Amino acid sequence: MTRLLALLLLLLGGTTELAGQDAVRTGRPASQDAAIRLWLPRGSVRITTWTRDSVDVKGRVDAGAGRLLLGGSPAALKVVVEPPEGRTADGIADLDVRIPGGARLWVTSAAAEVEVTAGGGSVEVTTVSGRVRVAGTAASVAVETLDGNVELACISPLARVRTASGVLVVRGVLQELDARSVSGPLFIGMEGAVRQVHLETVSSEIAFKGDLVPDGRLQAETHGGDIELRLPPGLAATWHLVSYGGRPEDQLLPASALRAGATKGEWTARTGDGRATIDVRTFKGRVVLKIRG
Amino acid sequence: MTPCTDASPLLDEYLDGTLAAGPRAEVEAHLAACAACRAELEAIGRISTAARALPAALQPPDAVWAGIASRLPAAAAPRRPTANFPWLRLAAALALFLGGYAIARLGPGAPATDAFAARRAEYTAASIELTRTLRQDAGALAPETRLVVERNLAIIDQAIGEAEAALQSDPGNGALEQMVLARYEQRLALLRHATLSGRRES
Repeated sequence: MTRLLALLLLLLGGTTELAGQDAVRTGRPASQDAAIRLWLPRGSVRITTWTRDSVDVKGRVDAGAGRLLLGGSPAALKVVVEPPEGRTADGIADLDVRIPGGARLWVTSAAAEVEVTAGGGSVEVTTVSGRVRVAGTAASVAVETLDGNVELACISPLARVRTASGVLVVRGVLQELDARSVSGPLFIGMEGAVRQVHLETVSSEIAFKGDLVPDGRLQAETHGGDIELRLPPGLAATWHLVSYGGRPEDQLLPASALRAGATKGEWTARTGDGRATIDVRTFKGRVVLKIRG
Repeated sequence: MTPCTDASPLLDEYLDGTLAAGPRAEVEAHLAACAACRAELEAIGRISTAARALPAALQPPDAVWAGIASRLPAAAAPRRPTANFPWLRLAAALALFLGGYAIARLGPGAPATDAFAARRAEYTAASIELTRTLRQDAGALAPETRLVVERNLAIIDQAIGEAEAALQSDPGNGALEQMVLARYEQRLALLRHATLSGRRES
């Protein structure tokens, strides 16, 4: 596979290989909207944007981590830390990468810490473990990690996060967010009004603080974890809550607004013109509604 | 003789009778000489039989599952490469069990809605396939990754069991059906991610 990857890089227009390296420094021309794919097995990488039409890579690559390859065309580049031939990488790479502001970025790693400060392009990060942090402004953000903690502190119309056991923290301005975990808690503090949010975890908790646009939609679901929503007191919405863990603890809605629904564990309410939709489900967790501070 | 690592992934198909003549002959030759794979084949057969035997009016799944689970580790334990991954055996067993469960729910008079039952059957079939793939690639996962996958699969499976049990008590409850389907979907997503993770780590 690694041989195939190296061959592809060569075919894409030549490759800079920095052999036997510790300190590395290399670069290549890149268009403002270049597609940039970065792969490193473990270590850390910080990616920032700049106004130049090029990609710049500097840092350190342990001999045990393999070798750094940078190749491709200005429209499509690959930055790869290729593991040593025939064995698993046992060293780390620590890289600082600068890319054009509008570049579309894909980062793939086994266990590296990834930090991206986006400059307008899309960001997609896929890891097994290792912390992932995305800041800046992005056209879209997608993060998928098995065990890594994820922090989004960015401005973007669209963000999607999947983690099994990592902790997700969101502090930013997002119009749409889809975040799901198995056992990792979801702590969401949104600024501005959100159009659509879907939050889902099996065993952990969800804490959401934010606001919705008038016809916005918030869905939150757990199996065993608690769900706490902090929303503006005057939010006009249709509320549908399912909680087999007991009556929701409501400190938000007007008195007696919340009524038992048609089936056991179901509660409904309508506030204002009811345009926004709040849909909450938990099998055995608690639902808590609070006023956003 | 065909090694265990080649024969084992074919046992399910061998049992189903869907294996082509050539591979079938190789599996039979291997089984004739390998007691460990014969035992595994018997274990798979017992799981399939138990799943198929589930009545249309479902019994609490925990009870059936407990019976299956108690037999599996002993059947899968000491011998082949995948024996180091008993959780994958359990995941495969649960997937088979859920497959039987879903098929049973599709029978005449089943309380579940057709759409729900059909979707659950789809998830289950995909789960079986992914579990099989993961078993074949199990060595590619780092031990710590394996533990994460194992722990989270167990969490999802427990949630599925609890939600399914509640649905039995309250058949046709739309909210519960959606919860069950959401858990199946998460199970699939985790298996898919684990499979890709193994390829990234190898």
